[in-house]
Amino acid sequence: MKLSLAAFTILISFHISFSQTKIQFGEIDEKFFSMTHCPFDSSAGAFVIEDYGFSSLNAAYNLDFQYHGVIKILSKDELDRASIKIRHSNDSRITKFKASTYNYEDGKVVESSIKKSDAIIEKINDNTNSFNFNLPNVREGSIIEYTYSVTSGSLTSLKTWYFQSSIPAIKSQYEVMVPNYFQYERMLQGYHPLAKGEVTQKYSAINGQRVPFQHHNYIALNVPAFKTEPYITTTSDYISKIDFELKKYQFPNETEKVYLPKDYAALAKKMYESEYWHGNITKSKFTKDAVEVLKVTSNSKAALAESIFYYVRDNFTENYDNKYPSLKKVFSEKKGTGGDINMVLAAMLNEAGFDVNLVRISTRSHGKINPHVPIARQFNFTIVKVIVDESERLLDASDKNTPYEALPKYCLNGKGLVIAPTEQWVALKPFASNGTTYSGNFEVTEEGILNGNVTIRRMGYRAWRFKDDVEDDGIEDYKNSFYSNNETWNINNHELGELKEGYQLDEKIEAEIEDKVDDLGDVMYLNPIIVGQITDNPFKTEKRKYPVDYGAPFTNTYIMKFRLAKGLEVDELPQPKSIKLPNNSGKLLYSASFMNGEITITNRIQISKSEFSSSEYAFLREFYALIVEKHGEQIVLRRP
Amino acid sequence: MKLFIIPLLLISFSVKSQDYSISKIPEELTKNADAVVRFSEGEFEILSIDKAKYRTRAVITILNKDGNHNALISENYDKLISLKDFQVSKYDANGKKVYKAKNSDFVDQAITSEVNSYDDSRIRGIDLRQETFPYTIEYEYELIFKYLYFIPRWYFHSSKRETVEYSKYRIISPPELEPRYLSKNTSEPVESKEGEKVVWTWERKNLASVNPELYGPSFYDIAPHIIASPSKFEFDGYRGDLSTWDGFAKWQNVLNQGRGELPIETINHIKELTEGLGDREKIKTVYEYLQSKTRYVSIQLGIGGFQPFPAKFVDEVGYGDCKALSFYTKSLLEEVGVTSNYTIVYGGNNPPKINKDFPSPSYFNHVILSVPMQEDTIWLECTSQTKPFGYLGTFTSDRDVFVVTDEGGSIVRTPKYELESNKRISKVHVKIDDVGNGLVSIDNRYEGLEYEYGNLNFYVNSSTDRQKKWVENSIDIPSFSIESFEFANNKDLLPSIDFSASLIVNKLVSKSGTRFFLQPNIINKNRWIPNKDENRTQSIYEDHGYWEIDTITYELPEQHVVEAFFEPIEIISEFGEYTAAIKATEDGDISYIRTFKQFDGIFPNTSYQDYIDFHKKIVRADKKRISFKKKT
Repeated sequence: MKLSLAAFTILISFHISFSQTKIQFGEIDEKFFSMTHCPFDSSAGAFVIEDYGFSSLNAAYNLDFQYHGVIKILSKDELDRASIKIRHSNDSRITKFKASTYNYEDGKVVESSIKKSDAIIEKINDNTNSFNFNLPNVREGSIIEYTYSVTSGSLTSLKTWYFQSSIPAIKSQYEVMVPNYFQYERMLQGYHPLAKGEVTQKYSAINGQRVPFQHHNYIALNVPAFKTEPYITTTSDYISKIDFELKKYQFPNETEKVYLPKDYAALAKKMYESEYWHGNITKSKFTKDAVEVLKVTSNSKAALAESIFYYVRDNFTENYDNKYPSLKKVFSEKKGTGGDINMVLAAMLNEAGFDVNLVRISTRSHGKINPHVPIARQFNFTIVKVIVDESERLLDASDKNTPYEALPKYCLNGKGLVIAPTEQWVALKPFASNGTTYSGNFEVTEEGILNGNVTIRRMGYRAWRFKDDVEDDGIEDYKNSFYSNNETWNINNHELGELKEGYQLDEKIEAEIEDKVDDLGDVMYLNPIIVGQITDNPFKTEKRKYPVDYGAPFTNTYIMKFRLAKGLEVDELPQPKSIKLPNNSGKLLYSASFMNGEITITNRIQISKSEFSSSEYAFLREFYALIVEKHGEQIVLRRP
Repeated sequence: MKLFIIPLLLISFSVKSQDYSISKIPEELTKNADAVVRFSEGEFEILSIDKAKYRTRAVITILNKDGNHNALISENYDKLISLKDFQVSKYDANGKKVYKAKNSDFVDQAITSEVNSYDDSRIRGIDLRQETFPYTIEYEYELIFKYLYFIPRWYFHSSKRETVEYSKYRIISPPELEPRYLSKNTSEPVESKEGEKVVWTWERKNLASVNPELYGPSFYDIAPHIIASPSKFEFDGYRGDLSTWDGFAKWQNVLNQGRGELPIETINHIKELTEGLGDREKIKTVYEYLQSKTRYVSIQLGIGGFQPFPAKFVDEVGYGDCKALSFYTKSLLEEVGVTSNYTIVYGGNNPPKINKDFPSPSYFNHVILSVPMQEDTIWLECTSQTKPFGYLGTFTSDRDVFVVTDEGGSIVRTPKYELESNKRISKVHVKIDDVGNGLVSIDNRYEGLEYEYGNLNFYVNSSTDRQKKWVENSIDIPSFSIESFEFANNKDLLPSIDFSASLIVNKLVSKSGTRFFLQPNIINKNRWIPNKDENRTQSIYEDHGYWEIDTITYELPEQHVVEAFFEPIEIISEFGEYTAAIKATEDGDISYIRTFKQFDGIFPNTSYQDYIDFHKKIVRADKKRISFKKKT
């Protein structure tokens, strides 16, 4: 939504006289020229000396954004930082542009500048242009500096400021100057503390009158480079940044105009009363025929809900070509966005007489919801809440392989807001049975060849993901890639089963395997983890500032049995092991036995919760190190 | 609301109302195919020396998910190529039209790479993919070229695993502008007249699919296709004749003319730098000056796609694309009395084969510089700030390139890096303590093309942060911590990188009960085995030969002795040679020595099983274990 000029009843002009605290263009501290590395991160190939942003209102009620950046280039692979593309809406222009490169040559600083006319304006699409320029004479050791202003049309959200980027920053600063007429919610996030964050009252003249302004000033110092780690939702949930969202505005002698809903209850209520949201699913007559057909084959209310779900899931295709089609059209064409498909599901459930609500969520890749600030566009997806036999169910029919009993993994991001007259949140809970069970049954021949079969049973998210992947690449491609990952297997039979009970999928491989045994004459070594061996610790860095987010708990189980041919004896088995993560949040069990000519190795790896805090990270890392170690252990066989 | 008035177009194609139902496809064309080209027609017409038109229409039935890429329909255009009359429709399995695209259904956007490019290319397209099969798509459009320089290649199949019911390509030209063509993997065209104009027609029916095999020639080499090139042409006011290499060179020389002027300060500076040096040293000095002063920026605007920026501009801003930077270097060299040649090449893997009798700019995508010397030629890659002087690497070595001289142009082959010069030598010492942790010190040398091993040539010039990532990714041990590491970059004509590191590895050897188990090849395990293929029909391509020599010595914990180890292994095949052996030294320690030679060449399809077996044996040999335990 865009706040237009017409929304204001008075026209006044602001004259913002206010001294910014940033450095002036061209005033670069000499000490940076001799630096050969970032003072607090010697491994960086470039670092930010100063990153400065300033958002303020101009006389035409547009937002001015001023930027000023100074970057030191240290290594040749970072030279591309001097090729800059600034995206902006095509109704705005880049002004007050300056850009220079500084090199230290023969004891003095040499500046090379470019003009605005050296830049190229590229049309990206109908709404967006890109202002592209290359700084001149950039080499190792250069310092580059550029500044510009751009007007952005939207008062509703100020430019997001990122204190952190892929290179470290000595200083990052954001200032905001807005008249008190406008009140913004601010949202600060990150794992690097700010050195300064203050809001002060200032006065400036508007139409000859002193008008109070809010001046925000945020400074972060010595900000480390942001590095992505395994098991995160999305980078934007962890990086240090600040956002501003317009809450309300009020001009003198005018009534207050509220922009953001007062709270989530108000947001939910507004959507509940909206024709586009709840209103849309209550006008469900157009689904009547389809619902009637499904009623015939369903012998209970519960069965009807389930068959409506599968009807939608299996007949509708996700498609993002049409923006804002009517629900009726989505229904007749059997295609729409994931959210639209779920709205059709809700309409059909409504038509069948169920108590149904839409639920707005933010998917994992879209980032976390701020629980305090009710901004509608934090949500990017719609799922369905329905009451069946007095219990509540959450449904998403847009994912091809996820059954009635579960939400897809991309939905598992905290909680969702129910579109209802009162504030209700529902927890987006993971499906309970996830993981993989590897069961092997092998004969060890006298020559040290393993002959037998292994069944890989994938459950829950593993099964659905696997099915998605196989359907995407084709069964042949999957089998080929299995073959190239297990090169020394002679595969006699390889079967991929269908989903059982909606959540279990078995893959069975019969094979002769040569490379799991090392034959050294008198002794033979056998690595018993035939498939699914974990050979690498995913947690490489020693410390981690942000949490580990698996999305869902899981259990992996290995049961490997080996019958020994005549003439082979067990010399030594791996030692049993059992450890737990603190508070029972995970465990590892490993055991080995030999009975009636058969070796059995059992290993269970269980992760019992979705999220681990950074203080638990060290335990988790150690836990995986132990898994890697146990998975590398050998059975020793002997020829007497 | 805006209203668009869409002009009615008279399309000169014979659009007969045809039946596109799936039942009309001959049965043999649906076997082993993901899509069937029901109908495709392309026509390139030379209108005048600086104008051309290309029209195409195609109807493709998509049989399964793997054929879905055909429903992503798009074409590129820019200021000099306009895209017109883009029409797209969709049919169901019965041949009933279910969709026709409106103007607003198309996506139209700039093609932009993330960094450093000036490019006015745009793409217009539409995504008609769906999840139920079969279905049929139809598209047509026209391109108007405001120049004559390229003629699009025509493939009867648009990709592998596709059959063709009917396909036709036509080239039309006034007789005085007659282009040249090659019919690759297919027969010659039918020549006819339409008024004054000459028409060549290639018409094909019921073609089986073309299916490339891994490590063999690509689809684009083996599929039937037509390559064509103008003879007389004009681009942005520059006339030329491409029918001879000399003609091509002459045109390029006209484009380059008068752009070599340099500021007097730069001339004086470079003369000062090179004063008193021999020619070779002079060239090296100029090259290193270029590398320290410039960086690469891609520029693809109009004639800027073929004409270098003036040397003066590059001198002023310190950047340019391959043309500008090569030409700048050429101008610098001229000032110090060295003649060099602008050289047009294909950079990258699988360079297209150049037909010396068929000059065409379409073989190439890059420019370098060649400097003829008394006894050899020095080749300069001017877009890199880091490449060693004279090093071509995998990007431009061992291929035919087009050298432009003042007198004309000729095809010359760049040197090849032979097996013996591409070496990876590892010397590793490992000290194992009595719980199985290891202290590993590594001294590796990467030489010749191995200079680029895992993009090492890039990382050697990177921040230590990125270098650390290279170390983590290139060393085969599951988890280790890096104590220290160092790179030394020897930028000789045959360049090499010395890498040394000291690592601490927790649980380098696994202990099971009383024994320690060790895979002695801890740093260079080969895991790659070619895919199974029982009906190999094409030859096997190995582009580069190389040689690996690893020596790893182990210091066992005190009181420990080797219990068992494997016999020496030797694997010899037409593809290469491999050896691995364990030796126990006198002081109770052990050493592991492994050598591997990969031969380059083209090997017959009948050897494919041997190719698999050879690699299988190596993978197995690289996993061999030894055990040791405490003396009893």
